[in-house]
Amino acid sequence: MPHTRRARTFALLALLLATACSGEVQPIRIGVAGALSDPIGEPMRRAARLAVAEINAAGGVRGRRLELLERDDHASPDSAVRIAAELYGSDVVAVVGHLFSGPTLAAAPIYNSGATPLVEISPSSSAPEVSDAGPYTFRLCPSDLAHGDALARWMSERLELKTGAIFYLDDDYGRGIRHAFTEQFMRRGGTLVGIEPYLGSTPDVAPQLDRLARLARPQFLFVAGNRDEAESILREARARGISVPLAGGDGLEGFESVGPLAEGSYVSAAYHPALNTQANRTFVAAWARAYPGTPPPNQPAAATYDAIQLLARVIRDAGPSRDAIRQALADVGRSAPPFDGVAGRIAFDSLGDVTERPVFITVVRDGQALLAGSL
Amino acid sequence: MLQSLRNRVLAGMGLLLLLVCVLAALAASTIGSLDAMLSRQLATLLEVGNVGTGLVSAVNAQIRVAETYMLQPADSLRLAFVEQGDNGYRFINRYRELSTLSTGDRGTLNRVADQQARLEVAFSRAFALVDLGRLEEARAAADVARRPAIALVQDLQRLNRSQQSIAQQAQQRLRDASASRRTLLWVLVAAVIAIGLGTAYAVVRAIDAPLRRMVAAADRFGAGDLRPLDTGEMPTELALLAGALEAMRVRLRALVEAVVGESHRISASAGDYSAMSQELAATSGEISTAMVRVAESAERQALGMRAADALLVNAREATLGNSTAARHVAGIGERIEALAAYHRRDILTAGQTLLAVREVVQTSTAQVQELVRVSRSITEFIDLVKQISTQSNLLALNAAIEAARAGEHGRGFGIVADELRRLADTSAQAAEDVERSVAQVQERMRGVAATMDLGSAKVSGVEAVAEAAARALEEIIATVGSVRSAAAAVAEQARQSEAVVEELGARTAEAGLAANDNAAASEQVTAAAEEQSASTEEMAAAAAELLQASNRLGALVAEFRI
Repeated sequence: MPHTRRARTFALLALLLATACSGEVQPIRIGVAGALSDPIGEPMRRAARLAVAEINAAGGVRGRRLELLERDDHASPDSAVRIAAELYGSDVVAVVGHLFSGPTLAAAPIYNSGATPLVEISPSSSAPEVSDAGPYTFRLCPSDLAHGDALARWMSERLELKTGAIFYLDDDYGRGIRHAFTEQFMRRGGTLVGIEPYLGSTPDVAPQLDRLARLARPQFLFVAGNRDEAESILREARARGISVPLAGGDGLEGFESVGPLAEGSYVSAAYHPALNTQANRTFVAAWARAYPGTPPPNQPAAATYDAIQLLARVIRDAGPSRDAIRQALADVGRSAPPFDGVAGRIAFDSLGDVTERPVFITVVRDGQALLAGSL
Repeated sequence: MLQSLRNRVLAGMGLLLLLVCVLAALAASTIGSLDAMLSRQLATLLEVGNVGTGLVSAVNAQIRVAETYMLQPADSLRLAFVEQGDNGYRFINRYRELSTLSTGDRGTLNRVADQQARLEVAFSRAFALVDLGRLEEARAAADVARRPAIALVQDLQRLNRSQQSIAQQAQQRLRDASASRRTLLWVLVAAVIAIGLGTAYAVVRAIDAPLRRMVAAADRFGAGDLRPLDTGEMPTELALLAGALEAMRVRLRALVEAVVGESHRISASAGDYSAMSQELAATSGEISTAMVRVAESAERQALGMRAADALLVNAREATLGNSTAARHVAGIGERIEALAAYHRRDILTAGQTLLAVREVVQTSTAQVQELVRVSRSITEFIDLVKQISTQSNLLALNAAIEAARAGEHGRGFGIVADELRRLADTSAQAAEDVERSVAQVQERMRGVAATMDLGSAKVSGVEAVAEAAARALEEIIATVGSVRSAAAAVAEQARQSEAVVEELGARTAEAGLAANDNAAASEQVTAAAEEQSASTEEMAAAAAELLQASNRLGALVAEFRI
């Protein structure tokens, strides 16, 4: 095949010439998609930029710079589908995203289909369905099942509470964590006096809270949703004299910043900036240098940072092709060594879920999310 | 490779088989792929149907539960509402996994999920209001919940329509695919038929044309044309046949060539033989003629001898002294006669055995030569006779003088002397006659000998009869030797007058016998010559026949072209 070889050599020379003329080697592009303008999502953008800056400062990957293609899906599944189609058609070799389970699940069919499927590594999509979203969908957080499961055990075992009421965000995330919690809590003999869906960041659940206050009297409130909604619900609840503690999943991360209202709330987390590992300490310090005056990195930030670093290692080992990246990622923690990230050790199971990751339970005391325990 | 008919047929059949296999594989793969496509489409349609129906019924069930709760609140209904909601949610997620969804469909599906969430949230509010007894507000909340329910059903209808059109597109694709495969299959079937017919035609042609050429070649060989013939290119199997035909032709040609050569040689030999036979016949005729003359001469010699013998008898009668010698001579003569008779028989017997011409000729030559020698002896003998007759004449003259001197007493003696003188004259004359005859015979003998030599030069062998003849003649020679010695004795006696006469008589008789022998030998030779002549004629006839046969043969083989 001398002809083919000659052609290949020629193509290579042409490529070298082209890159020499353009002045620099083409960068490797990675997509970052999520609710980047959201208070929870913004640290994701920062973490991605921080990781890329560190990697490029160290010489890039395979002699090429990393470059980010950032897309804000505003936590909307529709936007996520559009963005997924755009990223799929672009030259990005992998996507870090989406942030929430809904957009991740909506976009997964696009990333997993076609001739050149694209890896999506979600930092925080904890919905159980994400496990089955496809071979190109990975995540770096425990699923809602783990969070819901851990919280249900915490409430019934550690706090020995028997009656609760659930407010859940009526989307993939809320449903997922609600389902896991409900199942575990009821199996342990608990009673749920209300399972109330809501929508929007300031949900109108006044009638339900009235009912709870007057008729049901739960021992705790469980919010399967996000921080803002939890804050709104809690405020309404307290206004109605419901003084029971509030519990929530990782969607409530940073709930301590709500203020006195949040005191005594239990929040599960896949990451805690106080995590005392060398990698985390370095990361938190770098974060503080890069983004002074901002809150410490949250779970999406830590997981995004880990996702970028993991991709860099994988591309370094397997090359910047979409398929090679998927293969090398699937091998991490199985045929290839696990990756020690800032949020802990990353090892994937056959569904692309991280295995053996503990769920941390924090309790808000004096405006601080203190580590109450882990399950 | 494709020279062999078998290989051609095999190649054709192989190609055909290959095509049939391709056809079968294509048909199988077509059926397989159509089947796979169909089952995929059916599975998708089934899933679409299942999921769509499930979603609609789950949503309907949830609304029913909600409406029931509105009329008759119960905790179990709350849980049932959540369960139906989860059920619908699962169907939405299953819907999302369908591969046939377009981006628009996904948007619709997200809206469906959103409507379901709105519905749930609104009913959740309504339930709480019902529980709180705020029924007006509850009805208003339920009305709010029904709006997303209507929108949801519309979206579901839209989704189902979209999936239906996708199914129709799939059906069209299936139809197109099957149509294109069908065309391809028909083309392949046509190709298979064409190749089959082509193979059959090629094989028939490959057999037919060479066969025609070989039949033509065989016809030509049959007509006697054995010159080389090119039957041209042909399949291996027929080439074997052509090779056999060619080998047959080559061998036939060699055979015919050999026959022609032999026939030429036989023809030439027959010609030679015929010419020789004719020559031999001519020679035999000459010998016969010569021998007839010899026999005549010998006859005349014998007559002369008999005359001399008669005179000598008279002389013996006159001369007593001569009588003893004459008797001796007569005895010897009888013996010779007996011997001669015996040998004549012997020779006759031998002559009968001389069947072959060559032997006769040889024997004849030897006999002729012997005859010449004998003739020479006769000449010598005649010289002696002439000498004796001269002496006798002188003696008779002296006797006449003595008789005259004796007077009266001598008169009788004088008459005897006269008679003696006359006898001497007569014998001298007879001797001269014999000499002449012998000379003539010798002359002819030489002619015969020359002819014989010519004949004997052409023939050879034939020992037995020749030896018999030679032996017989040796006996004659020995007898003649005895005659000669007897004649010497006569000469001795003749010196004493009486003896001389008797001796003379004996000699004469002997000479007569020899002449008889001579005549017999001549007859023998004549007979032999005649026999030879007859044989040579037979031979000539046979040679002519042979020549004729060889000519016929030549004409026959001339029909072959080689």
